[in-house]
Amino acid sequence: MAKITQKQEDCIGCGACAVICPEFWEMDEESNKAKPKLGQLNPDGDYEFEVDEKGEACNKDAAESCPVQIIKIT
Amino acid sequence: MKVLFVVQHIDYIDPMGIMLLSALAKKEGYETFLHILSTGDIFEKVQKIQPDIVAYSAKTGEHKYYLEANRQIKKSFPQIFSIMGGPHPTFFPEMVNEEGVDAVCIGEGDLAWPEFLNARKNNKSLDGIENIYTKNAYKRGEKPVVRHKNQNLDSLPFLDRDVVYKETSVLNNFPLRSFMSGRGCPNFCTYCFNHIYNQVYRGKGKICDRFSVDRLCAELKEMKEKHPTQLIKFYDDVFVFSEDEWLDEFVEKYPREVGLPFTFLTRADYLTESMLLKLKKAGMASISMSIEAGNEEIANKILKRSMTNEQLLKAFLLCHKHKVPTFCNTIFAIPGTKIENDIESLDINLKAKVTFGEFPIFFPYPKTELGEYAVKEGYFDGDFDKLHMSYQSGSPLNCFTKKEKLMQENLSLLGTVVIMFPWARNLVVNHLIKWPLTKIYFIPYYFTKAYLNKYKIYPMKFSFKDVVGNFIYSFKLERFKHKT
Repeated sequence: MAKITQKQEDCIGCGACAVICPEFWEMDEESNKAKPKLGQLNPDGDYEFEVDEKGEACNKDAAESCPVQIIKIT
Repeated sequence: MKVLFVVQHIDYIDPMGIMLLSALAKKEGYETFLHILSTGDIFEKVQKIQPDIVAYSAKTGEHKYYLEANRQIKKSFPQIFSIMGGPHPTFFPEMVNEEGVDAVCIGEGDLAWPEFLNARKNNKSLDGIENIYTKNAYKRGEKPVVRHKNQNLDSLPFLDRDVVYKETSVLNNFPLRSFMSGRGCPNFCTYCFNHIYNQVYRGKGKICDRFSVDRLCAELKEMKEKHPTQLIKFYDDVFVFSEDEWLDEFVEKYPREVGLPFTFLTRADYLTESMLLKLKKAGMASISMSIEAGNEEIANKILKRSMTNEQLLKAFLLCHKHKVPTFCNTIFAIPGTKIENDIESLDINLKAKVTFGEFPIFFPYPKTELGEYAVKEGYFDGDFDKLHMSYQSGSPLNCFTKKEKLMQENLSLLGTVVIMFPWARNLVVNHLIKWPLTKIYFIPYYFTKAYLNKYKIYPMKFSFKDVVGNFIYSFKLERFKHKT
């Protein structure tokens, strides 16, 4: 399992992650920022969720597409 | 060993790809040279230099000039190895099978080019060098392989500007220097190559990457010491995405280390007031942001810009408020649109108080979503070889009538004038664009552009001799760009 975190506060809303990995990412129409479909906010105010090996590849693409590098995989 | 780079022509933008490849080649022990096709006989140059390798960097439209030049070279000098890189071979690797082409380079050449040069120097096989696709590999039915992107831009050598400047006094003496602080754009604009390029590299590294601020400043500092420089233009597709640590470091170090005015490109929806103020304080002379289409449905459904007019206006009016001149591109003659849509686009430029507006005509670039759409709908026959190398010439699409094309071209020229003199809007839109006076309209277009560039967008000081020289050179260049 891999943990994915997104510092949504710094998202610029380019939508690259939502296009590249739509299974896990979508655009929040209200804030015009990307957010994970299943993520929960952690105490720091960042989204986080876990994925299996299969989901990791798609999220790796999403992380690499992010121009402001706010999606991290650990 | 010697490499001869060949370009069709040089305008006021430094050919940074060639400058980088030349620097990398010198590191491998090669001597490097440049030939500009529009200024001299390639045969004489090849005979004089006797290069081992001839290299071209081809965009779609100009590739045909390189193929022709290469055929000439190979006819008399078959032992010279020819290689072509750049966007065209990246999207059409099968062009390696064209007569006289020995290999193509797909995508980034940072790591592949030195490996290729090393192999040639040591008479080793080129097989297995990722990104390099040879004619033999094509004939064996192999597919090109692209390696992981270069993860460390800071490791690249400084651009070899001398290889270009020693061949062109215009660029050498022109005090505007081009630079890219990084690479990549994550957006999905359908007319641009980036969304396709990102697919080629999917899973092979970050879409966007940039130099560290220290590395960037070190190169620019050396550049300004070696070459007279008054202004730097950052040609990154998007220079700043957000107010991140990099930006804070840049606005702190750049004025101290480099200290020259600069201009750059970004997207309107990324610009904030505090970002603008920081950059202005650091020396920003002007900013380039595109509108592309004034009709939101066209902008977001056909062009996939993902931007509202509200966001556009907010950014441009912020610049106006803080007296930062703006340079804006807007595309005319988009497939499926009418002249009324182009007028709508002109009007939003006026509303946004754009300082200098350019209105290029849409060109269907191969493999881009909109280029493919134009072919699929029968608007364009798919023969990319016949495209003019400048997107400022007439529309190549057949979905517009002769009269519509005339109006598009006229508005493309006069639109620039209207942005400077908004009172002329109705006269232009209601009357002048309908008249077959395109060649005459070029004159006010040229002078408006020259004035705004010199005094607003790229403010620089020139001697009288340089003003005259640049006038003649740029006039010829603009005539060529607008030739249908």
